[in-house]
Parts: sequence; structure tokens; C-alpha cells
Amino acid sequence: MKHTETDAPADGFDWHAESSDVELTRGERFWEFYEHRVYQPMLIAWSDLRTRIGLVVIAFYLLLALIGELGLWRAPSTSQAPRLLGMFENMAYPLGTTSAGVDLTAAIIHSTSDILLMVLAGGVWATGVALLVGVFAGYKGGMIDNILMSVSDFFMAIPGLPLVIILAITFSPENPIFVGVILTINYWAGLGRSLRSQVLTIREDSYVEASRTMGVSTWQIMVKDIIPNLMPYVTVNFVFAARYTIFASVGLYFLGVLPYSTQTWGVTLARAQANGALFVPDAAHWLIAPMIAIVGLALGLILLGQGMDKVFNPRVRTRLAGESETTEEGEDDSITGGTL
Amino acid sequence: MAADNTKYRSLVDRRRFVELVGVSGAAALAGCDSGGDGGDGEDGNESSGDGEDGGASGVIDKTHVSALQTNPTEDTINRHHTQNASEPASRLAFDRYAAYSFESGEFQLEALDDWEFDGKTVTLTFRDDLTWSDGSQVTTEDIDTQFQLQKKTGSAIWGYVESTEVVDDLTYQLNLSGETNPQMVKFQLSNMWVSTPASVFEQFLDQDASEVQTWVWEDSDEDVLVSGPFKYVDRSQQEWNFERNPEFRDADNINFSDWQFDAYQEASVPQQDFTAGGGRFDSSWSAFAPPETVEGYQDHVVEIRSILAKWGYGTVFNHDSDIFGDRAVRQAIAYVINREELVENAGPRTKFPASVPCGIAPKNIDQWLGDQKSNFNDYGVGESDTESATQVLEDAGYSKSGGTWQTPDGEALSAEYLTPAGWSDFTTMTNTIVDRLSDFGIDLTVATAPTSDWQGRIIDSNFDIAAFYWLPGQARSTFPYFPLRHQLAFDAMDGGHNYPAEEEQTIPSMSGDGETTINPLQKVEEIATVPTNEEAMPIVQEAAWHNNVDLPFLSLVSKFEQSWLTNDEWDIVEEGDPDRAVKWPPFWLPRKGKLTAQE
Amino acid sequence: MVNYYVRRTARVFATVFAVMSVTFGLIRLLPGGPYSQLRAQLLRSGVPAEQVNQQIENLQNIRPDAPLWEQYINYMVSVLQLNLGQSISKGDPVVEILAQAAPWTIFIVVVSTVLMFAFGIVLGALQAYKEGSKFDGIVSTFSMAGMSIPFYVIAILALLVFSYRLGWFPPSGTADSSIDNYWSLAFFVSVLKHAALPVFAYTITGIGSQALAMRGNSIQVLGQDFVEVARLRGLSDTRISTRYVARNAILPMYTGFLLLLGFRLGGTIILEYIFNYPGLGYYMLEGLNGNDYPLMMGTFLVITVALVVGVYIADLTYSKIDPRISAGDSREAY
Repeated sequence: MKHTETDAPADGFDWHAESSDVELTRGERFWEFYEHRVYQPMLIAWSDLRTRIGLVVIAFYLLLALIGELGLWRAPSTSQAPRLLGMFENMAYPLGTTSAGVDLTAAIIHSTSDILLMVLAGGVWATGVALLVGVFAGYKGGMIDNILMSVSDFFMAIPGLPLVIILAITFSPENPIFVGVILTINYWAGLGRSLRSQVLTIREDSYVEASRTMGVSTWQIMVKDIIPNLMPYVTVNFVFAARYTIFASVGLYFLGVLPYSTQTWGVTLARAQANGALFVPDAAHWLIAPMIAIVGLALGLILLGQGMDKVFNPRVRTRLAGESETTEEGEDDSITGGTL
Repeated sequence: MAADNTKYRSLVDRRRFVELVGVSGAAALAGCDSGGDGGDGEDGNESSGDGEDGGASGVIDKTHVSALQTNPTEDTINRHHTQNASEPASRLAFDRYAAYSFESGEFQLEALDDWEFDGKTVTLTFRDDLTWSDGSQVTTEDIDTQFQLQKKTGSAIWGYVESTEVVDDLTYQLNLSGETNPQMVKFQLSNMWVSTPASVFEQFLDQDASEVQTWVWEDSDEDVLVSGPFKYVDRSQQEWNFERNPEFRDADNINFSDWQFDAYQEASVPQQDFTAGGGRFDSSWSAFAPPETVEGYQDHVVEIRSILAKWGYGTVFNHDSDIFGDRAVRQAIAYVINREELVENAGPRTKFPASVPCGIAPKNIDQWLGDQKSNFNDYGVGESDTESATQVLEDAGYSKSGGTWQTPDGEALSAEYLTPAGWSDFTTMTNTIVDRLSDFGIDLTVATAPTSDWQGRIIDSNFDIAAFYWLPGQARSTFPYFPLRHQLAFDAMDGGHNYPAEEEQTIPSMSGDGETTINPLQKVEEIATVPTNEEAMPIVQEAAWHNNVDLPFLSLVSKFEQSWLTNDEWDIVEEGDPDRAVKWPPFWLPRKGKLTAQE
Repeated sequence: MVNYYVRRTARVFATVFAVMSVTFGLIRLLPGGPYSQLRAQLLRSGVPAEQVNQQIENLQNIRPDAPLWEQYINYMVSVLQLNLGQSISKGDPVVEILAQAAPWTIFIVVVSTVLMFAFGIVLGALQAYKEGSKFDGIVSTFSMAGMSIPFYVIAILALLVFSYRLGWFPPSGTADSSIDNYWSLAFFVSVLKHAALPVFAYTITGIGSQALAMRGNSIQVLGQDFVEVARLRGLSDTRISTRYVARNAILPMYTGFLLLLGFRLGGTIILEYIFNYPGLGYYMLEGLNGNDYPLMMGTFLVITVALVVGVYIADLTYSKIDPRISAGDSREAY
């Protein structure tokens, strides 16, 4: 991850220039924060087709989760429908049924909320820990930096999936939030390193310097001056971590190493494969249905991520008319995302 | 048997397991009409039943290629090897003491000329025409070496045998440790093979057991001596080659020159070959195929489905659990489960339900229960009898509140149902059961665990209710002692279900009036000590009655095994022949001349 | 600088040591402990309960009841001697199994990663060159679609279509078993055929993110002053694109490449499971399902060491290639 240290200065984030040259009152500060960090970005985001589609897709999944939670669609159960109906063969069971007569639509809808929780947990954990580690290590430097970076090097040295599999076997996590955390147990390490190198640049900036000489506490500097400047990068990486969580969770359910009590997408996929859906044309829909669910959600996240990138990367935005990504994002994704 | 059978369709590998347990079922009853003569195997060199072809002279230069789902170099034909003794390969390489036909339900003597049971003495007389592949005679010295090594390694036969002695070159005597039903000893003996030439194995007699238990014969300097129809040639990761053994006593029955195991990893590889007609495999043993797949097979692929797998899906309770320790709850569960629905969901082609859940293998129930069967409670084989279930629970003081049943103490009936991940048909049946019970108001959730974890939790009694096979597997399961004991003592999982099998229990009597007390395990052990099946019958009935009432386990479903042969280049004996029901047809039929190469 | 190399090298050893220790600890944490599977196997086959422990002792040549520190020291010493123990399910030394498995996995991972980078770089460069064109848009769309499909979905579909339906490629294994001569053309072709689908599935979904990264880098480099200067100096387009742009755009991706190799080694667990491709990932899962802890942990260690070494090489060579890097900075604390 060394490369990020070099890329960061070259690539930089100039947001500080707009936000903190002058001392502002609390109210003004808040207003400005809202204006610059929420309202304007949202506006820009919405102007991008990708973001719009991404948001719509994710909203659709939230709706599915809601339908499941409110019980608006039947719960999956064996022998609830004729066995092995194909897709759209019977509109009461649009995605078809399994060989045990389970409605696939129900199976997918009713596991959506768990998946979303898992994804959220994975994203929050990965980016949260990375932020904490990156900011502390970067700003404090010295001993703390050394220790934190050694720890994250250690975590980076352990291959993600095998470690996660062993942890999954050891702890048999069933709570979706816990699963999300386990899946991204060492995802933060690489991200933390990139954040640290960005902090290294930011802390040298004049306004941070100013705050420091004025005796503002370290904590305040971190929260008010540094973290806001990292948020764009963090947000985009949150999306990637979320995508990684989906891929990894489905993969592990598919392998059968995560315990489950409901039929998550990965479980449905595994059951389809075990029951010969690869082989039997009549059962192909059993494989396809969960695949669509997985790819759809991932696509929504990716589109959102791409749109966000444009929002948060003003330099690229202004210069290249909103068509590009930063080096870090592309690469960071290629590293962790490439695994799955 | 430790050495002999650990590899026996090891449950460890889940992919292998899919093939084993399968997803199909019920039309299978066809082709399993009991019949045949169950010949006693005294056919010697004249080898009755070998068809028109295959004389001594006309050996065709042809290789039979059989599918094998392991890496050959990981296995060995050393049957004392604890973990890697190859079941299929030793069935080619060695003569067996006796064989059991699932069709006739009889033993047929093979290497044995006679077995005599007289109280605590069993006299084994071996045939005089048994030879090792180097031409030397098989004598009781070899047999003794085998028994001594098995004693060292703690094999199951030594659970019955106290001591052995060599009487003469062909006669060997076993002194049993107690009065034992001959049937049980016969099942153990039928699982033994003439596999231990003294010249090779006597070196292990004064070594640690682990030496022979880890010894890979093929990799050693010793000659690989066999007593069966095919002898070892060589092997690689992909194939395991054997050639016709002219010294085999029935070598005349084998009219082709070579046998090869062709290794594959994924269960669907033979399926693909049989569908596409790739011609890679001539046979495949004990390989499950889903029904839709079978329909797509080429015409020349012959399914042999006459072997009862003798195991199947059951439910095991943790009897220390507050909920499932109560007989009423177990009975209610038995009523709610629709066994035919399980079969329909998980594989209607090869599976069939137990007509009465009483611990006896389904196909043997009628034979053992006889007239008494009508007294037994079948708990509704094809229905979800929630009415009776409600009745039982209410009588025991349970009440329903908010859709969930509660114990008289107000505890909700709620638990995790433990099931092995990756066993596709087990999972389907577990889901079906959990759905029906949840509908009924017993709030269960499925908890999957990898195979080893699942077993570990059961051994450690770390579960409330779980899926587990209720028949202990192998031919012995046809004899009620074995499945009944399996369910009570649960040796396979170190008694992890905590059933009070050795406690005096009070149950309603079989005739319907009054009560009776029974010590279940003692009752089952009694079966083992009576000399004939007639005498055993009433004892079996009492033990089964206890099982039917108290339900230490739920006997739900059993299945047929599928083996596959091809008849485009091979001649196979007609359906109904008892030899088609000897494990496993691809390896058994050739030595009987019932699987021969076409000229 | 020397100091940096020494520190960096020391850290490799420290990491490997730490990973080994964690591995040892994890084995003990796993449900049922190292020998539960063997115990169940023996029990099921009819070995009396009281003899089971004796048998385990016979077979594994260890005493499961030895004090923890003793087990720990024994473990560390034997791992250092490249003795990863004996596989419980296979009966062979773990090192032997892994030595057979590793080449296949490395083959798949290296080939697919190289292909992925090659395609990604070419596509990304073309996109940057034709920025804003229809081509750029289409490739970007496909890249994003690719990024939203996990490789195992492609793997399953490829298996379904190209293997089961069309029969073009074998569904499992590493090579045709009937070919004895490992140096023949037929064997080589067979290896390629067996590897084709795994490599395809593992490559195709990764191209997208590489292309996007390359595109971003190239556009960024194209906008930098030195490219302008080169243009003004009248250097040819080819020279600019290869010497300046490509070089500077690919450079940041170089470390990513080595890191990815390590990461993708881990991903082979799912890939090899789907294709029954007996490599490292396959055996790790096999060990896991069979509670074959020596096998599982041996595989885990091997994959980890591969990753550690990969990162190490990446770091060292990168600082050689790109002089801008300041090795191991940790400036004054605030």
C-alpha cells in the first residue's frame, strides 16, 4: 500500500480551502457544513445519472427488505408451492420455486434485510476502524504511528478470505451485524494506510498548522479539520467495502462455512448447486434468481460509488467533466475488490 | 472393523455425501421384490450362475473402467489402514468370508466353506482352493494374523470374540465372550476379507498398532498379494490399475483382462459422462443421481437400485433438554412430521418413509413386528396430524399462547434444529420439518454447521434437537439389534443425546391396557444373546415398542443406493438376481460371471 | 536506506511469526478441537469409546493432553522445519499435499492476474486516449457491470454453459487423467482446457476495475505538465504514450499487481471449490470440512506467507522503481 503515500500528495484534496480559512461561529459553521458537505454534494450527485440509478436500485432493495419485514410477501416455507416451477411460469411465484416447493421470491425478499444489515455493518466497520487508525496514526505520528501501522501491516498480511473462513468456523456468527464485521475483519487495514498518508499531507496544511498554534486540542483538530477532509474518500470506500461484504458473504454461505437459519442468497445458490441445478435445465432458475439479487445490489452500490466519486473529487470534476475516478479509489478497489 | 470400515463411504466429504444420500426416490420399490435363492455359495469352481459367456480360455483383452471419487494415491488396499483403506479396491482384490444379499436377505458363504455356531464357539472352515496371487495356499495362519492384528487395532469383531485358535490349516475357531446371536457375528464376518497374508503382515504383530494402521501396502517393498478376482498393478493420482488374477478360485468367471479405477472429484462428473455418452466410465458405484438427471442418461446406462442404503434421515433429541426430554413433546413432533412429504421434497425416487417409527429399518419392519404391527403407533406416515399432536401436548399440560406452545412451567417450546451444512437432502428435510413444526407452534429455527462441527456438537451434547442418521449403516442395519442399539446407546456419537437407556422406564403396554416397565438397553442387548431369530422376535418387538412409544430417536426416512453399469459393451445379469443386491454390484458381479465383456 | 531494508525484512519475519502463533491459537479455538473428526470417524466405525483416544495417539503421534506451551513450542519448531504435520483425512504429510497443489493454484492465479492486468491496462489506456468517446462510455459501462458481478457467479454460469451444456471444457480437475506423459503436447493442451474456465471466470470480473484505474491514472498523467512539455518538445505520440504516459500510469498499479496476487490466492478457495480444481484453496476447504486441522492450517500458513512475501517484494522493488518513495517515514509527533 506504499503507493498511496506517493499518490496522495499528487492527488490531494483541496476542500480545506473553502471551509476553514476563517474562524466562524458555530451556527455559520454548521450552515456552511450543510451547504458544502450535504446540500451541494447531493445536488451534484443527483445530477449524475449513475448516482440516480444507484440510489433507485438501493431504494428498491430497501423496499424489498421492508416488504419482507412487514410480512407483505409470504415467508419462504417448504411445500408452499408446486415443486420446481420456472421463472414467470406462475405469476404467484414470479421467480419460480425449488424442488422442495419453496417460493424463491419469498426466499430472496425475506433475506434482503439481513443482507442489508450485514452490508451496512461491514461498511461501517471497515471504514470506521480505518478512519480511526488512519487519523490517529497519521496525525500523531511517531510511536503511535509505528504501532498502528505495524498492526495494520499484520492484518494486511493475512489473506482476507481464508482468515474470514477460519473465523467464521470458530465463532459461527449468525447475527448479520456480527457476520458483516467478521467479513471485513481486516478490510480496514489497507484503507487505514491510505487514510494515514492523506492525513500526513493534511496535517501540514496551513489551516491545521494555524489551529495547532492557536492551541486547539488534538481531538478537535482531528474531528473538525481533518476528518471532514477525508470524508469524500471514506464515503466512496464505504461503498466498496459494502460491495465486498456482499460478495464475501454470499461466497461463504455458498461454501457452507457460515451458519444460517434463514435462506440467504448464498444459501439459495448453494442449495441450487447441490440439487443439480447446474445440470438440470428445469432448475436453472434456482441458480439465476439469487445471482440477480446479488449482482443487482452490487451494481447499485457501484453506480452510487462512481457517482459519489465525481461529487467528492472536485479536481477531477472540474477538469474532466465528471468522467473519472481518483487513482486511490480505482486501485484500492482493485486490490480488495479483485479478490471476489 | 476399525481398519476395515472407516473408509466406508466416509461421511466426511460432503460432496461425496451428496452422492450418497441423494435427493430422490420412491418408485424405487420396483425391482426389489424379495426373491432369489440366496445361494450358500458352495459353488466352488463349477461356479453356478455364470452365464453363457466367459469360459476359462477366452479372456478378452479389455479394461473395465470404473469411476472412483478419490485420489487413488491417498488410499490403500491395506484393510488395516484406519483412515484410507479403500472399500472399492479391496472388494476387487480380496475374497470375502461371506456376502449378504439385500434382495434375498441371506448370507452366502464365499471364502468360508462353513460356519458353525455352537453356543460360545464359532468354527470357521475355509475353502481348500483359496490361493494368494503368488500361488501360495491361503491357510489359517493368514487368518490368524488377520485376527491378531484386528485385536491390536481394536476392531469391532473383538467386541464379541474373547479368543481365537487355529484348529488346523483350514479350520479356525472363535471363542465368543458371551452368548451371542449368530446373526450378529455373521454380519461382522460378512464384512471380513481374506486380506492379510501372514508372509506380509506378520511383521506387524510385534509392532505398535499404529504401524499397520498407517502402512500403505502399495508404497512398500512388499509384494501386493491378493486373494480376489483382480490384482494390483499400479496407480497414479488419476487411476488405479488392476489386472485379472488367474489364481482366483473363480477366475473362470472373469472374461476380461483389466480393471481400472478412474478418479474424479466432483459428483457430477459421472453424471455428465453418462448423459453425454462420453464413454469414460463403464460403471460407477454407489453414486447418487437426481431423478431429472437419470432421465437424461443414455439408454445403455443401467441403474442398479436394489441395495438398501440402510441409513437415512432421522431426528435425534437431546434428552437432557427441558423441552425434548419430555416424551409428550417427542410424540407431538412425530405426529406433526409428514414423512411422505419429506420424501417428496427431498427425493421421491430413491427414498421411502418408515411405515412405523420404531427403530427398525423400514423394509424389515413387517418381518419383525408381524401381527403386532397393528398395535404400534404410526404417527401418520402421510399426514401432518396436528390434532393428535395437540391432544398429546394438552394432556401433558402444555398450552398454546401467542401461537407458540408452552410448557406447564410457561417456557416456550423454542429451539435450534441442528443440521449438517452441505448435505443437500438432509437440509431439505430439516427445512421441511422445521416449517411444519413452526406452523404447528413449536418454534424451531434451522442451525447449520459444517459436518465436523455438527458431529462435534452432538458428541458434546451441545444441541437440543438435530438431524442424524437413525440407521447405523451397512448390512447389519437389517438386524434390529444394530439400529435399536444405535438409537439408544448412540455409540457413534459417544452417547451425546443423553438418553437414559439403562434406566428402568414405565411405558404403556403393547396390548393397550396397563403399563409395563422396561430397561431399554438391556432389552436390546437381550436380542444379541438369543440363538435364533424366532426366539429374538418377541424381544425385538418389545424393544421396538419401547422405541415407538418413547422415541429416543425419530425413525423417518430410508433410501436405496444407486449403482450404475453400462451394457453397450458389457453383459449384465437380469434384474432380480440376488447377486445384483450384493454390495456393490460393479465389483461383485464380475466374480460371479454376471458382468462380462461382450465378445 | 539500509536501515529501512533491515527493518522491512525484520518485519517480514515478525509477521510470519505472529501469523504462525495466531494459527496455533486459532486451531485450539476451533470447535471440537483438532481431533474431533477423527474421533467421530473412529466411533462411527465401531471402535469402542475407551480405545479411541489410544488410537488417536497411535495415529497422530501426539498427546492431545500435553500442556499448551509444550504443544506451542513443538508446533513452532516443526513448522520452521517445514513440517506442517500429517493430514488427518489423507494420511500424507501436509507439505507433500501442498507441494502438489500449490503449482496449480499459482498457475491459475498468476495467469488470470496477468491477463486481467493486461486487458485492463490496454482497455484503460485506450479509454483515456479516446476519453469521452462512445468506446469510452461502453467500456466504462461494462467495467462497472463487471465490478458488480462476483467471480463465482461467472464461474457457475461458465460451468453451466461451457461445460455442462456445450461440453467444450471439462468441469473439474487439472488435467486429463489418461495422459501419462507430462511433457507431451496432449497433456499441455489438456491442462489448458482444464484451466480455461477457472482462468476465464477469475479474469473477466477483474478487468473492469483495472481498466477504470488505468483510465483514471492515464487521464491524470496526460494532464500533467511534463507531458505538455514533452509535446512542446515535439516528441512523437508513440514516444509520449509509451515512455511518459503508460509508464507513469502503470507504475502506481505495479504494487497493486503484487498485492493482488496474494489477495487472489485467498479467493481461490471459492474458485477451486466450484471447479473442483485441486489447488491450495481446494485443500483448505477440504481440511475445513473434514476438521482436518493440520491440512487447513498448513494451507492457511502457505497462503499467508505467499502474501507477506508478495507485499515485501512489492515494497522493496517499488522503492527501487519509484525514487520518490520515502522509505518508512515517521516524522515528528504532534
